[in-house]
Amino acid sequence: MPDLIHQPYWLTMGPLLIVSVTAFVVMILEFIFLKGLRRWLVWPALAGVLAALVPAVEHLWAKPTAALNTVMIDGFASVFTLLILVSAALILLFSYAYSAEQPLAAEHTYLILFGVAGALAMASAVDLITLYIGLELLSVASYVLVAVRRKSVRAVEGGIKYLIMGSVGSAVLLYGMSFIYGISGTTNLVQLGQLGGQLYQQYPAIVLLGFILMLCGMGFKLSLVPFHMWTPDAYDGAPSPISSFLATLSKAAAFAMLLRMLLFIFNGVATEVFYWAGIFAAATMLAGNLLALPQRNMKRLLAFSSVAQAGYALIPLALIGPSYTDWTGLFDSLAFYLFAYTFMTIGAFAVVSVVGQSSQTATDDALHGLYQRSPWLAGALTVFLLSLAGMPLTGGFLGKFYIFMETIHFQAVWLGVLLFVASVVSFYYYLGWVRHMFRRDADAAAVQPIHAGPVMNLVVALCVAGTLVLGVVPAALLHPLQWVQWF
Amino acid sequence: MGLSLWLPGAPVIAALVTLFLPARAAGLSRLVAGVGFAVSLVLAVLAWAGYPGAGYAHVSSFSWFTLPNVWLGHNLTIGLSFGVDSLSLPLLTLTAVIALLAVVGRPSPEGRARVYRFWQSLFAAAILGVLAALDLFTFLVALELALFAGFFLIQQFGGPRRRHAAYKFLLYRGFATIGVLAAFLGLAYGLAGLYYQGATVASTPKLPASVGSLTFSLPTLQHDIAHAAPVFGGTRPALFLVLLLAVFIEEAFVPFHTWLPQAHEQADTATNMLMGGIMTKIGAYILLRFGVGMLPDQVHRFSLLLAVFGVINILYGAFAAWAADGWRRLIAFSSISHMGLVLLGISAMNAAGLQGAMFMMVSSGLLTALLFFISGAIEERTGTSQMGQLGGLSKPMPMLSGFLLFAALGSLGLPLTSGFVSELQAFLGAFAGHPYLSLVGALGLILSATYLLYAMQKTTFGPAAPPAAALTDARPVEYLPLVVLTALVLVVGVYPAVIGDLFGLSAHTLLGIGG
Repeated sequence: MPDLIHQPYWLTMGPLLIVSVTAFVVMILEFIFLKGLRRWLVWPALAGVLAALVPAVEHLWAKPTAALNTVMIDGFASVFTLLILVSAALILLFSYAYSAEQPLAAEHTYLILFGVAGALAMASAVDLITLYIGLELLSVASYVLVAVRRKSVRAVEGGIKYLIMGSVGSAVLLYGMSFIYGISGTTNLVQLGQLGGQLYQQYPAIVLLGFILMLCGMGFKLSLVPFHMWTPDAYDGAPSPISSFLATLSKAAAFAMLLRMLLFIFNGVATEVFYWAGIFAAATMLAGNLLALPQRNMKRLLAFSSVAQAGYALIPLALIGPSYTDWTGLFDSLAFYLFAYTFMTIGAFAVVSVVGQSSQTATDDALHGLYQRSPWLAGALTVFLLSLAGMPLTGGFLGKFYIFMETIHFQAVWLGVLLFVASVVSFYYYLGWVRHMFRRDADAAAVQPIHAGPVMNLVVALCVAGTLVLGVVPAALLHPLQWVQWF
Repeated sequence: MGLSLWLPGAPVIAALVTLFLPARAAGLSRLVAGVGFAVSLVLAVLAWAGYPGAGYAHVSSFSWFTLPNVWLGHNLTIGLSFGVDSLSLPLLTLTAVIALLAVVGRPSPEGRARVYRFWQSLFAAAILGVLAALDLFTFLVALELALFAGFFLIQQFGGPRRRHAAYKFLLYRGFATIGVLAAFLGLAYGLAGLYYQGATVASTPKLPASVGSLTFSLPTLQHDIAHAAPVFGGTRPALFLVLLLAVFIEEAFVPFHTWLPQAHEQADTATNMLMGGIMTKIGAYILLRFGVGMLPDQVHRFSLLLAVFGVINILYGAFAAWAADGWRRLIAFSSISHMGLVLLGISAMNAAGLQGAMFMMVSSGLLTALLFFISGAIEERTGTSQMGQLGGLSKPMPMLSGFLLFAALGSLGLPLTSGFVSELQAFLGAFAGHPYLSLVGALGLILSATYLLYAMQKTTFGPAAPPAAALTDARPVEYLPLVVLTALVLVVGVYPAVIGDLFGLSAHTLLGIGG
């Protein structure tokens, strides 16, 4: 019998395997556990995610290695694996705290884990089929998760909308992939990477068509304008932890997959096609922020804000140019921005869910006088909002600044200027919330204090810490990133 | 390691400490904020006393973080770096004085002391940070912090139409910050790009070795750009114009001026002192530091543009102040008029003009803060600052009226006040540069006398408004700001060398670079 245990590919696929196994274990435990105890399933799930962090960190500075020709462990995969696992841990804690107040079907725990497994595959696979399977695993889990409160009309509406739009996106993506497969005869990204330039010279129109279709297909997942219509409904219908799952983890994975596919297929001469992504980035930044302006519903506003933020994060992708050696700065800036974005977005959703539950309203009236009711939550949400808006000493500012520096480096300053113009527009609605929170009720006796549970406070505190650390001591992330060997 | 870090550092620490004080302890948070500014003031005075006479002194420099591979394989090390020189020292001291007096003279808003003192400390700290920054990133961080802190001060603690005013403040100054950012990065990358475009250090032997690598350090940039001037050519006008646009918005120059009077109308008195006294001087500081200091040839080139805008603002500010129906608007427009003269003085690009501009910044800061303090005290007692509803205040409050008269006279440039010295020098310089325009600008002197005395007459003389009997004069604690600011106005007016030595040095340094 051959040696099953001591094979290098187990190690390479470590995080993916650990999370998948945990997902199955949790699923089985869910059948066994008594109904009242099912909430506790979050802890084994969290243990699995944290265990998966160990090999992920170990791989961070390792030399790129491939397993079975379909999964690659390189710097790129490791950084995104790390990001996905960190956000997964935060989201699991968040959902645990959330379900203490509002019962959530216990299936959500393992559905999140399956989504995470799909996301990890998207970050590390180097085969179009595997990538697509990862994407579908993540998507199907998300469709169910959005509609997990199946008795709520809004949840079902959001879920259906997401299902339809997401499926269209997947189909468009698959269509784009099929063109590439059609002219190259392979789905392996490494082989495609070696062909890249040649294909473009032979079939420029088809390669460009494939690029645009794949970008548009992923555009649905990233909710880039004009494929963003499902976003507010899905975020609004879903329970808050799931909204934050869609906004952070699912987007990070989609960025990883998009970048991996496009870079491998279109590197070399074809890099000029990346400039097209700049148009999406510009439209997304501006439209996302403008659409957020009149929004009163808190979660819908955060949805539009996440649309705009995805536009900022798309800029590094649009900057990809022919000079391979300069790419590292782009990946650094993207990764930095996504880390900062993850902390501030999950944090904002957490505070909004606490506030929304306690005041029984989904509009920003719930924030009225929050400072009097809970100075801690108001302060934390202020940090997240200021970071989203881009105030110095927060991760959001530095992330934007770094991306701006990259736009100069790659001589696309117009994108950088647009980034800052869009940010100034966004000041209006982010700071509008802050204004609401610090408004005072004349009748101080009628103020009802809000107390979040300990786990929720932990989530918020971790996110505040992450946001501030990235802003004040950015070297904590920039320095490790510097040593990453991306591909 | 120099003491400059603690100039903005002390109030930042004070701001953080206030957050952890009990919510009800208004006096305690006021004390903490006051101590923060007092430390800054002491340090500023110490730094002044120990200033060696040239270059940047008391530098505290830390490397903060490194952005890898941002420019052709170069890393960019970003520093947290502060220092003082002959231009920034008087302004830093001015800032610390006004901030301290604003804390001493004005109580916290009822029940919200903690939040108020937090933003107030942060706002003044950010302005100190802007003035002391020796790294472009540090500068931008401080500028943005001032923007957000100012927004919250207006929006949380302002008058009934504060929301509109605060957003206007935020958007105008937000766009100004983008302009400053663009100009800064243009300077830094422009110098780094010399390498890229083939004008290597080797081919132009006079270039210093640091040209061609990307740096944000202000002293290095200043040094390099002076030597690289002939090479780094085509983009300079564009950079200067972007910078100028940002400065115009920062300074609330016509036609970008509407945010300032609105902000002043809505903000509380202490915030008005900080905004009118020092924040509105930042634009001129940027123009001096980065325009005159780094792109002097462009200041020469666009000298006429500066002078024309300067004169327009002197006159527009004066006319608008004349038309104003309340003290807040009047002071705001008169400060715009002052800053127009600063621009006119700078446009001349001679020692007298520059020195006059610097004097005017300090003088306008002192007088604007004093005027806002007095008008705030009057408003607190009468409930209005509208001239039409005031009258006969000299009887119930002779001391406040007296100080108001003094401030008005100082503002219109009476001899022996700082206003006189500033206007004299600025116009002396300006006449050498643009004689006819300066002649038109000098009309502003007459106008300022008209509107200030007219407003004075309506407020303090004439028949008393109905509730006059119940009005009280200045309280003991209010004398401190009144007396100190008045004394400083007189000291600068009677013995200008007290700041003139440093400013003269600074003007000559700046001109020495430009030739």
